Amino acid sequence: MLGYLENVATTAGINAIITIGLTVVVMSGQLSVCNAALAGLAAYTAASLSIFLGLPFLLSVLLGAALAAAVGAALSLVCRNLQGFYLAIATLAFGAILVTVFENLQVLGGAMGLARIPPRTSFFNVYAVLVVLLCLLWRFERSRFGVALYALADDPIAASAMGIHVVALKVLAFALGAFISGLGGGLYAHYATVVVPGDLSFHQEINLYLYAGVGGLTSYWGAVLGAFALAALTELLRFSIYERYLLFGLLLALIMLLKPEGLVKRFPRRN
Amino acid sequence: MQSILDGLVTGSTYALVGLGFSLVFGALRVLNMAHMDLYMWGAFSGFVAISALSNSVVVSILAGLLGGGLLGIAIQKAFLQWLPFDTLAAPFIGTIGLGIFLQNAAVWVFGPRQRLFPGLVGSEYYQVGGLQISGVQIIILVTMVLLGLGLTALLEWTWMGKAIKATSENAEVAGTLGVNVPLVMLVTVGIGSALGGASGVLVGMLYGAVLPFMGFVIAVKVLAVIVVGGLGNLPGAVMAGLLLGVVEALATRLGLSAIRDGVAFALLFTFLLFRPQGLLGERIRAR
Repeated sequence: MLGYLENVATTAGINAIITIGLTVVVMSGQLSVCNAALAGLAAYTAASLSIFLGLPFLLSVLLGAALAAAVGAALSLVCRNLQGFYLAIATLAFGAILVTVFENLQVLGGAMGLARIPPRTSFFNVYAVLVVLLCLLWRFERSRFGVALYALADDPIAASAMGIHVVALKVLAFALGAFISGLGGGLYAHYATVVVPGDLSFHQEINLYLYAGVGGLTSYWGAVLGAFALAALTELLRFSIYERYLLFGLLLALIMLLKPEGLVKRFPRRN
Repeated sequence: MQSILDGLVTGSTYALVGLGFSLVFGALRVLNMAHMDLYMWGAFSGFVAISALSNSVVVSILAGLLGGGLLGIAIQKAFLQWLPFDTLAAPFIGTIGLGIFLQNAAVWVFGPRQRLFPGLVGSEYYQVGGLQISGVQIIILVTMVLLGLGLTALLEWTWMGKAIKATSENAEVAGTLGVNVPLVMLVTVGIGSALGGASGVLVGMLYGAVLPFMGFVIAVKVLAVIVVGGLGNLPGAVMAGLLLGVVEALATRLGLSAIRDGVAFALLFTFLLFRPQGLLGERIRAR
């Protein structure tokens, strides 16, 4: 029983970390639909570093996340002129391209994925990362960057008039979000011990939006709440995956209809 | 040449879904991510009509039109029209949620596995000028042309068509000029969803099977089609659909089937970066 709860909680923690990355990007007013793909990229990277180079666990996870951050920053920079739906679709296409790339990279197992990753992720290191992350974000939110980020999300034109470099801040937010999602991805790889191209797919993006949407799209506390709430619901509704998703879909649709900011609104930030 | 023809057939189905999607986007200014599941429900409507009524091509396509259209009207009435359109993310994600719901509702009714779509016409091929074309392929091309012409006639020559175009141009102004905007939106969503439903039936015929997740499979491709065509641009969506079908068929022909799906996305990404207004170059304010 304890082992079962530990597994559920570890998975929920990993999902929470990946989703936090998504909310950081959404917070900056960019609708990213590739955070699962970036997490998957980090997962593949961290796994390869562990398997082929034998790097220590923490280092390979950090390097995987760093690569995700670099790719995320480059993507955001390339797409700097795209807004709204256009950015959403571009990031979605980018994620789909990554899936095709990994399906065809025979070195990394192709469509079968990369297996036999050393199982290093435990309940404790997932929650250590989560707690450190939340503390840092709590600080970050109150820093110059955090305030600038909220200003940007509220009104990009006004923010730019206040001297905020919009493109730089958006790229920074995308990189930060990709880094956080990438941390989750690296932890996932060393937990599941297998990474497959499907981990990067549109289906996973939808799962992230399920967590973030239920909890609160623009709040990292919402991401945590959403990931835990849906983990609990998943366990309670174990009987059928289809009926579970029937309910999840309805839940997401209704929340967007009735409480579009999700259950947790953005944290009031000014002291 | 043969692959170009096959590509045009597949492309017609993309074009038809994209056309409906684009029409709905024009009216609501929201990417209806549940559109692809209306396409799937249309396919199942055709499937049910064949089992219950008769083994007729016309009946199944009509059932697809009707099934998709009615479901579209229902979700517009019950859900889409209430979404908070002043935010960007909520309608997008809300319709994703609705799509998940519709998919799994189909699983609930029809089961998770694919259902065989009965062959309505013979599977023999006809020779036309050195090319082979099957009965199903002819049906798809003919239906595509008929529906395209029907839609054009509706938009160009009827009062409702003009109202639809006016509303998609500027709903507020159309409203002040005496257009019943909610009604027009309802009709637009109905027509767009009906086109999606018909396309679902055609795809069912083409591959001989329908399944609850068939909408999911083409979701990203349809997004590619409407972006390459230009969001809300109907002729552009048709051209982009056909183009995508042909490019995919050629990629397969050249032995690149492993990266076939990647081709669509690469095309999409390139267009977004260099030509976000789409093939036909309509300027878009949203940029």
